[in-house]
Amino acid sequence: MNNQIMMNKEDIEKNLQDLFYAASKLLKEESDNYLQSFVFRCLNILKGKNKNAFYWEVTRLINARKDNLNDYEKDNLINYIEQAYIALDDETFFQHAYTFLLGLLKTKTSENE
Amino acid sequence: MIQFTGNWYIDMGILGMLNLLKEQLPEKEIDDLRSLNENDLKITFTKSYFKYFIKRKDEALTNNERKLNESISKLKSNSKNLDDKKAELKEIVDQQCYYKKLLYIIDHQDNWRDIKREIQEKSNEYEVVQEAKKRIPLSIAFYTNYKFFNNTSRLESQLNDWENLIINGHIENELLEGTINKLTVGFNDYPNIFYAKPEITSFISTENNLHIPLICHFKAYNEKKLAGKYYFFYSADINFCFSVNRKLQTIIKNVGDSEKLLNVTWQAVFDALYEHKSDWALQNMYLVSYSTINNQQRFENVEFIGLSKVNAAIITNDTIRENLNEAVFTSLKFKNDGWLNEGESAKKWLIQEVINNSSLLDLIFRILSIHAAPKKLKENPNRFIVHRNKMIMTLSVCIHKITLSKTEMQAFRGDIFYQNTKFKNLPKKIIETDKLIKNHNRLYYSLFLNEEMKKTVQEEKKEQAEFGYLVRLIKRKEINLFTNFIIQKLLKAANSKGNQTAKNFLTSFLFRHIVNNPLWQYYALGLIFKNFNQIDNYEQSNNDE
Repeated sequence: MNNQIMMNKEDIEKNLQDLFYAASKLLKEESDNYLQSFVFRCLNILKGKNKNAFYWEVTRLINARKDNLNDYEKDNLINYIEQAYIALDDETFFQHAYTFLLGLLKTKTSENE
Repeated sequence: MIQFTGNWYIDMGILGMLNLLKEQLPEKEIDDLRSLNENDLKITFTKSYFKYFIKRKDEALTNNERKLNESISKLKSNSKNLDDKKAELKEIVDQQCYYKKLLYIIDHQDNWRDIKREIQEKSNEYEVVQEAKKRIPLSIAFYTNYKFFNNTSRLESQLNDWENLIINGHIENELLEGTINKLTVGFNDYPNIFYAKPEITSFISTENNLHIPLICHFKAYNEKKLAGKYYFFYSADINFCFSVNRKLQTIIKNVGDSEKLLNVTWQAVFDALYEHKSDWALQNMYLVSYSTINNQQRFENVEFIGLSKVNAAIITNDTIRENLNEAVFTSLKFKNDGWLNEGESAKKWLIQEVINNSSLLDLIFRILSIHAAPKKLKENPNRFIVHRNKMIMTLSVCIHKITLSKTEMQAFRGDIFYQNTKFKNLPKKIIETDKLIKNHNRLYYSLFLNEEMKKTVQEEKKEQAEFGYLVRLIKRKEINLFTNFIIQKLLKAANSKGNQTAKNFLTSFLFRHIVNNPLWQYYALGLIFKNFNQIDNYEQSNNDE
């Protein structure tokens, strides 16, 4: 991709933090099965390094569950994922992708703590 | 109070003097020896010095006596040599008796005048010993020219000279410059030095009794040679230096000549560290070596072996040091004594690898690769036990050393006080990281694999294969596949209440220390590392076959 942008480490770190916490709120009302099947599907997509499919899955999920987030969190999620997909290098994109999935996993676990 | 001067040559003498004092007063601690008052110091020193040489000579005589006895027993009763040999033997026995009397006097008198008077009286009484042999056998090749060492000087002049120099402290400049200290500049030898006269006498006159150590260098060295050389460990902290050298002496006595000197020295240094936690002393350490210590004084080398500030800060912490103080096998190709080829060991001492700033990650991968060869392991079952706690501590040390080396790049814009506190906090940070990794390691195994439960052979094999796969991913820096694999495992794990908490912690750990951390390899290895019980594994796989 030619339109890659350069971000410094601190910015990426902050983005990932925001992404992690926003993702942890996204599926808080969902069942275990839904979460599991979604994450499994995404993991397989990531294994095949299919960025398009992953972006599509995530956008679909965010659109369907955006009511669970406030505006700031919504912006964070959409902006960071989009930025990573369109403008960042592969390595940083996958960093964002796994952060998103780990955030989703934290959803269920934090409830029962 | 006896102090080091900072000049290693003179300090070597001071150490020799302390060693002699310790022989005379073995029950006293180093600090007590250092704080002896002037009179006690001189008398104790005199007694131990005289006793040292008399005993040494006596040992040589006993040897001669034994040889003579052997040769006499071989001779026939009518042999011509028999009478000569018997006369020789009698002389030796008389000489030994004389020395025993001298030792008795030295042991039982606590005053120089009494010692001197009684020795003189005894020598007059003892007519059987030749006049020339009545001298106290102070004779070391290091300083043959100095008055009381000189073989031609008789007992009376010996005692007078001793009294002059040691008891009364009358230093004769020329004699000291020329004969005792061969490493400093003398009066006449270096006329081209125009800017100063760094004379030994001007130096030693600044401290009381500093002339005494100048005749004690021979006692600073370790008595046994290692690889053909005499070694002396020097550090500017007198207590630390004293105890390291004593330990070094014991270790060198018990090791073979093939042992590497640095290994031996580090061993002594770390043993001594339990008593003296002096990190500045660790930063200034030297090894002095001589090939001979006779009058040639074949000085070989002074090698600086001081540690960097970071390493010194790490090593002085007891918890970290205890964990790193372990030798681990990193290769399977070794002979029974643990050596690969000459000078190359299959074992690596973790603490030394840290000091040498070696790549510990490579070392850990090498250790792990051994565990992929169970057949070889069976031949040496007890050699390859690797303790998880020790390896995790090693990983934590790596993490902080790398982090620090990255921040040190900005040293010039940093504040010097900040730099110092950074080193002080380092051990605390390492231990915190160690605890963090260990806790998550425990969670990981409690969630996915129950280590204590008896497993079937298939389960065992699957677990081994999975472990090997994860190690390979870490080695190949496949962070995405590694994270992918662990997330899948997290999803598959049962959702009991305890498991949910464990999953929560592991998720956060994965995010902070794997996905979002450039040093993820270290954390990942720490997360999956386990104790190895390869003998069981091997036996099980054998049964299976």
